[in-house]
Amino acid sequence: MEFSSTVATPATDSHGLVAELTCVTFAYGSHIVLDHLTMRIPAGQFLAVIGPNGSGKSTLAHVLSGIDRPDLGSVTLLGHRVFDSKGIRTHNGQTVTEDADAYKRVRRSIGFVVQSPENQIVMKPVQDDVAFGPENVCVPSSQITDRVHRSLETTGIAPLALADPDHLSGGQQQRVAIAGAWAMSPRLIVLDEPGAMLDAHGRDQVMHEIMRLKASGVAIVLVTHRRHWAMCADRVVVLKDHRIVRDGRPDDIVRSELSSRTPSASRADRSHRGRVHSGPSTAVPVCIRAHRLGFSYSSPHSSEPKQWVFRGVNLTIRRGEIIVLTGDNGSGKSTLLAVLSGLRRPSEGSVEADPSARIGVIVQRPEYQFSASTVLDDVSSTLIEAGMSRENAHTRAHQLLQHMGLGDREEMSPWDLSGGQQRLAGIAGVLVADPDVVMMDEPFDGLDARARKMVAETIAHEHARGKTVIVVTHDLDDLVDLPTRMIRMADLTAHMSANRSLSGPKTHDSSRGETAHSHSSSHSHRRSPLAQLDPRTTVFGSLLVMASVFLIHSLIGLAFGAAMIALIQMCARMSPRALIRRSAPFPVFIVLMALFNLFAVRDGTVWVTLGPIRIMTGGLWAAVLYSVRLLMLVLIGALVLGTIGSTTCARAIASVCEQLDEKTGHRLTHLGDCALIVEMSFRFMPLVTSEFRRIRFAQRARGTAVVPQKGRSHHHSRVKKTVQLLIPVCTALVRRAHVLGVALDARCYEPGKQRTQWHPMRMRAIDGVAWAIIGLWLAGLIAVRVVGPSMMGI
Amino acid sequence: MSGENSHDMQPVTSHSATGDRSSAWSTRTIALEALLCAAAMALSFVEIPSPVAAFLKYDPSGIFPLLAGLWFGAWPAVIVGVISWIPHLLMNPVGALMAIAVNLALALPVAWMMHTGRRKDGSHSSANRFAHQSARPSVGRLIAALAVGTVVSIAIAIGANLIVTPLYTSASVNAVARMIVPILLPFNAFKSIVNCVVAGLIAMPLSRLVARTRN
Repeated sequence: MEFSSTVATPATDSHGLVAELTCVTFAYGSHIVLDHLTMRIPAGQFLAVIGPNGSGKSTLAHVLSGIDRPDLGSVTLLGHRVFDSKGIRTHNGQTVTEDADAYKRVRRSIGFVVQSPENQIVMKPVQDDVAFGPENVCVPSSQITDRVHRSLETTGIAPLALADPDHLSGGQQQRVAIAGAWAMSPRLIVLDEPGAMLDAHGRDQVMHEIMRLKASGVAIVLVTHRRHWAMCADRVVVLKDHRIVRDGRPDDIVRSELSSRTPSASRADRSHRGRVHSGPSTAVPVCIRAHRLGFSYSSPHSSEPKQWVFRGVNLTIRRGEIIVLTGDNGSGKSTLLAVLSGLRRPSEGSVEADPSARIGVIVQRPEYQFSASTVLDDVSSTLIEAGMSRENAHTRAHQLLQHMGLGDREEMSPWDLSGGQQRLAGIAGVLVADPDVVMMDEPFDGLDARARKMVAETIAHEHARGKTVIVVTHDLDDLVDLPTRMIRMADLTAHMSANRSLSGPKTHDSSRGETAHSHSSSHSHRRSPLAQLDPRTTVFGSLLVMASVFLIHSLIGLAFGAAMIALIQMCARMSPRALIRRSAPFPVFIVLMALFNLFAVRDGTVWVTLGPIRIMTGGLWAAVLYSVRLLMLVLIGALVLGTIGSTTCARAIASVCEQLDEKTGHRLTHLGDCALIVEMSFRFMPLVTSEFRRIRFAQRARGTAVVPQKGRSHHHSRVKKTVQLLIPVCTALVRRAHVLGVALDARCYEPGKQRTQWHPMRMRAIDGVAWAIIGLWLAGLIAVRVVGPSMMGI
Repeated sequence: MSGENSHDMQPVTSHSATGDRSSAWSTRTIALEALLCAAAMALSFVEIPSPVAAFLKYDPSGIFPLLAGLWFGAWPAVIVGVISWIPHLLMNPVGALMAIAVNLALALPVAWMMHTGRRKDGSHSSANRFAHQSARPSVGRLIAALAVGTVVSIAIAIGANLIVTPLYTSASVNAVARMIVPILLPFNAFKSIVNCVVAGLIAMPLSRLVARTRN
């Protein structure tokens, strides 16, 4: 079996090292990311890599996991020399700088986990995702079962094996990703900021996981900016300015790092303490007042118990204040901001805002909303959409950009700016409308120190101009120098039960993750005969039946069809009510076509006369025949989809692709890739749908700050609106695809290569019966078609 | 959404240790195709009834195979065009097949015109030139390709309607042709042109980003 040769053998690494980098330099053009870096990682070591943003941590993680190669130096992973700018002699005598085969081999024994968990889960349910890596390296199916069970046990998520990853919390998703890496039996696991997107609870889960992995003896590289995580490691490496500046035991390093940071830390502490007590002066007029504010996503008419995001929030914000709103992920900060701004309606309570105050909302990562080709156009589009003339809008945008230090960048594409400049340009898109209240959601998120300073300066400037600023953030250090008032989400909602509602269902209710179709086995309600069939039989059999419906031409044929529908209905065991609900949208079309037939067909004799219109018997028969045919199509579709679900339907199609691929000896090399695309597109459809919603929301948010100019109300064409929505959506897709591609590489997916299937679909006796019935039905239809007309005489 | 580091997105000479990321079948391209399929699926459920006739519905899903065709070439256009209609295959098989045919009739000619005759190095890879920074596609060529695609897709749409209508009514094809062409022609022209304009306006500014992430 190929599998035996796939694992890099420990015998080859003579020094007991899992990774050895010598003088590694990595540059994007002239921009150096890693500068002559040398490091050795012994087997079984837990190494933490810390350092500021942009110091090259992530790049180092990519090099160590065999995803990216450097420009200079040499890289030895798991005892295999994979890259050497001086040249490597391969077994066939050639000298190359990078040994692609060796890279492939070592990647099979290196796990790589990126920071956004949702983007590295490729399959659903969870257990299929864990099996994805082993399938890619052609592990035999029986061994995959062992590996999947072992990984799920090790990472403690065995109860979630059948869950849909979309229904898991961030922490659980990250554990699924770790389980996926673990299933490859790695000797080195590289984790790139695995807690970055998680709240405290999720981070604890992940840290717990890492300690478990450590106990099993695998080498771990943890890239993080959390010092207390680094404290758990055997060794800490500090990267700064693309070099290793410290390397040693965690307590030494963290102590010295802390001592150099003490002044600013204590200053931060002092100012925070001072601020909490300094309430706003009552002399200043109130800008926004919230009274017993509550928000829940469930609709007021829903019978489900309400899941409160927050409740009973009382808040008074005075003009000119800088409010800092902090709290855990999922504590409802962003939602509170949306409710305060009027973008979302509160479920209970009220928000009173000073009617003269215009509110500008800057959503998280405003740079993801760029839709114009230059910075100036993008910033001024806010005003132009409100009806301002192009020249005036450009003048104002120009002044603002100049002030923000982007004056020389305004003719550039927004994508060509640096990360910090992009953020500023995104912020400018709202500030250009000169709102009186500026609400910012995580404006410092993902920025490095310099960019954070630029954003903080912008906030200071707005404050100096007398504006009210509300900032949602969990990084308080950035606003230390400003007279802020800090409000903790937990204080606002202190009276709510500790088990907070929004994170509640995600974290604790795993049963919700089980979708009906794939888990009917675990829910031991009786599976209908239709559900027991191989999905390929169901899908392609029903398509055949549907196609043959068009052979029906006579009353006998219709009776035949009715019998078939009754049979499928019996096999599907779907209640008539569910059936009607599922096929609800189609009758309109059927009625339309029936009317058309009734009046348009002029065969036969006159049946009735309605004034000038005569309806013929031929028209009547056509109306009946064609609408019954259509109805049969709709019913079959509803029954089949209602039983197996569209994901299983897609899986059947993917499975046929994979089998064709195998049968044709991979001559149609990319059928296997098509199968993956089918599965991934179903996995990501909910995420993409929420992307659409998020961007629509952000666009609405941007519009709140501008007053539409009277008399010039601009009516934008649908096309323009669609483009403005789709550009940010596609941008988000391209970015997501980038991470997803890395995740596929890390899990050894190779386009066009053979992979095993953990659970290949199998035809059983019951499928034979189904195909026999379909065969009989076809034969019957054809017989009726041939003999029928002479009997019926129609 | 995602929390990628922005420095991952810098333009580079390839650092990939996992093969050519800009090839038509790299993991990046496969990932993006899957996401385009997902977006097209989501939009294929959006139905905007046309003002001409209620049962002729416009859905924006045709934009995505076109984008795949512009960025990556013919095969990705086929993949996105076909896969995005799988959810409709069982519920509305005839409609799904027609939508696939019409969307591909638009995307394929465009993909071919944008991806042939542009390779100067004589390589056989279908590596895409549209999403390549050094080779910005000319707007003229893009417009010509979209125009050809529009004509082909209108032809296919009308042809498909003529084939399909006898499945729904027993009125003669001639009668149908006479009655439907004045409705079908403007509707399908409108649909294709909207798809082309939207896809063109999206593909141009994003092609640089697409090229960058793939390197």
